[in-house]
Amino acid sequence: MQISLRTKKRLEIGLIYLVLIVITMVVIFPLYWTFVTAFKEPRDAFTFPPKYIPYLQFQPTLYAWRDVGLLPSIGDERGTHSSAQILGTLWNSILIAVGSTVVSVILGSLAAYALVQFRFRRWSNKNISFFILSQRMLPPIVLVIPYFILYRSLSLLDTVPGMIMAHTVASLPFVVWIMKSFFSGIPKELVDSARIDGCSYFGAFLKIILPLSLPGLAATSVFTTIFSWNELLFAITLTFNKARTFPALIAGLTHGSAALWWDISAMLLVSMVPVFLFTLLFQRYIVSGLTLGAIK
Amino acid sequence: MSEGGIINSSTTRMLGVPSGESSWMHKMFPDRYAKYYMLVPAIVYILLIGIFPLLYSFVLSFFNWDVAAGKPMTFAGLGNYIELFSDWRFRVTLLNTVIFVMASISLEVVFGFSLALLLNRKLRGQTIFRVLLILPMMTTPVAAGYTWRMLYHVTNGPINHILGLLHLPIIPWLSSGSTALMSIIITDVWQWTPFVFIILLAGLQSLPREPFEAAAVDGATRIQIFFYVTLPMISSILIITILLRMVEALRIFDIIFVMTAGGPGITTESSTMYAKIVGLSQFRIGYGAAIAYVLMILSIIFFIILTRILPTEGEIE
Repeated sequence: MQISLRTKKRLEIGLIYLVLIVITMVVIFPLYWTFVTAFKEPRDAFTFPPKYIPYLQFQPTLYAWRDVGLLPSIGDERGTHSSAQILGTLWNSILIAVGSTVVSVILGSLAAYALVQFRFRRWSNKNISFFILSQRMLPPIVLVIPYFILYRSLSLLDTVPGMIMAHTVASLPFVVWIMKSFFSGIPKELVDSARIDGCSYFGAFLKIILPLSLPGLAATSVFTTIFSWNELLFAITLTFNKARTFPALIAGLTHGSAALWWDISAMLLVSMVPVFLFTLLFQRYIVSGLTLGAIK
Repeated sequence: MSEGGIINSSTTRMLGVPSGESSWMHKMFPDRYAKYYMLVPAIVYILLIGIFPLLYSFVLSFFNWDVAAGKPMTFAGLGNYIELFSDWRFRVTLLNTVIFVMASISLEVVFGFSLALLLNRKLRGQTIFRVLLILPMMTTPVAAGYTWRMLYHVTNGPINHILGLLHLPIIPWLSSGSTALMSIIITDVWQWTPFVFIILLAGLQSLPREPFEAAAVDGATRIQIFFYVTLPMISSILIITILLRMVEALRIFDIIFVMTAGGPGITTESSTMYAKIVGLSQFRIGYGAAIAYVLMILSIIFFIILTRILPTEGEIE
C-alpha cells in the first residue's frame, strides 16, 4: 500500500515535469526562432522546409549583423541599413528612456513621500493618489492627437525632449504608486528622530528615506526605462526622423512581404536582450511592479 | 515626537546620518511648506502635460478641423459624436477591440491560472521554469509582433510546416480575414499569460496554509479545495489582475500595427488604430479626438471598477 502510494506520487511529479517542459518549450520557441533567424544568411532564412537547428541544418553567420550596420561589413557586402541610422535611433531610445525615468523618478518619489508622510486636508490623500493613478488608466490615444497639434505649434515634434515629456506622463503615476508602497514600509520614527537632530523634511527624505528605499527605487527606474524603451504609439506618431526611436524604426521597416527577416531579427534581439537582462536582475520586484504595488 | 520610540536619534547617527543640517537647507526648503513643494511639482506636471491636452482634445472633438483639406476650423457641436453612431468602420473596430479584449483575457486567465497552480508546489528547478515562462512578457511588443509574423508565414513559416508534418490542414493565419484576429489574439495570449501567471503564483504562495490542511483533513477532493478554498481566497488578486490586463488590452495598438497594420481590410483594426488613422493620417483632427474620447469613456468604466478594488495601504487614515 505504502509503496504504491509512493510510486503514484513519483509518477505525478514526473508528469508535472513533463507538462512543464513541453509548455516551456512551446513558450520559448518563438524567441528561439527570432534568435536563430538573426544568425542566418538570406539563403537559409525563409526556405521551405524551414531550418531549425544551427550547425546541423545551416551554418550560423553574422551576415545580418553586418547588413544592419552593427558590425563592420566585409569584402564587397553593402549594408542594407546605414549604421548611423541604427545607432542614431538606439541613442534616441536610450536618451528618451533615461530622460523620462529621471524626471518621473524625481517628481514621483517626492510626491509619493509627501503622500505617505503628510496629511492633505482639502483633497484627501486618497483622492490625490487616485487622481494621479487615473492618468495611467487613460488610453494613450486620447493624448496622442492633442500632443501632435500642441507639439507642432511648440516645435516639439520629432524632438527628444518632446518624447521625454510624453513618456513621463505615463511613467509618473506608476512611480508615485510603487514608491508609495515602498516608503510606507519605512518606520516613521526614523524621520522623527532625524528631525529631532535638526534635519528638515527634505533633508530626511534625501538622507534617510531615499538610501533606505534604494533597491525599490532602482527597480522602479528599471520598469520606467523598459516602458519607454518598448513604447510604440507615441514614438511612431511624434517622431519621424531626427528623434525616431528604435522600436519605431523597426516597426516602420516593412509592410510588404519582401521583409529582410534576418536583419529584422538581429534588430529585434538588440531591442529584447537589454530588457531580459534587466528583468532577470530585478526579478524580485516584478510582481509589485506589475500590480502598482498592490501585491508584493 | 518619538519619545519612547524604538528608534531614536542615536539610531540615525548609527546609520551615518550627520546630525544637524546647514541652515541654508532649512531656508531653501522650509518645513512649513514641505508637503506642498514635494507634491506640487508632480501635480503641476500632470495638470500641464496630462490634463491640459486632455481638455484640449475634448474641445477639439466638438469641432470640424480637416487639416488635409485646408479648411478652417468650424464648430460642429455634437456632430462628430453623432457621426460616430452611424460610422460602420468605427463599429467594426470597436467590435474587434471588444472581441480581442474578451478572448485574449479569458484565455490568459485560464492558462495563467493553470500554470500558477501547476508551479505552486515544491519542485526542483522551479526558478528556472518561472524565469523562462515570464520571458514573453518582457519581449518588446514590436519584437513579439514581428516574431509571430515570421512564425505565421503561410508558406515558409514553422507553424504551418509543423502542421503539415502532422498532416493537419494549413492555416492562412494573418493573410485571411477570418483568421487574422485570432492569430493576433494568440500572440497576445503568448505575451501576456505570463503576467497573469506570475501575479497569481505570488498570490497563491502568499496564502495561509491552514485552510488547505483543514480541508484536506475533512476529506475534500482537489476540485472541491480549488472551488471552495483556493478560488475565494485568491479572488481579489484575480480581479485586480484581470482589470489591469483590461486597461492594457483596450488600448491595443503595437502588436497589431506590426503584424497586420489592421488588415486584411480592417478585420484586425483596433479603435486606437482607427482614431490614429482618422486623426493623424487623414488629419480629421476633431473626429479622431471624438473616437479617442469614446474609447476613453470605456476605459474609465473599467477604471472606476479598478479603483474600488485596489487596496489603499500606506496612507494616513
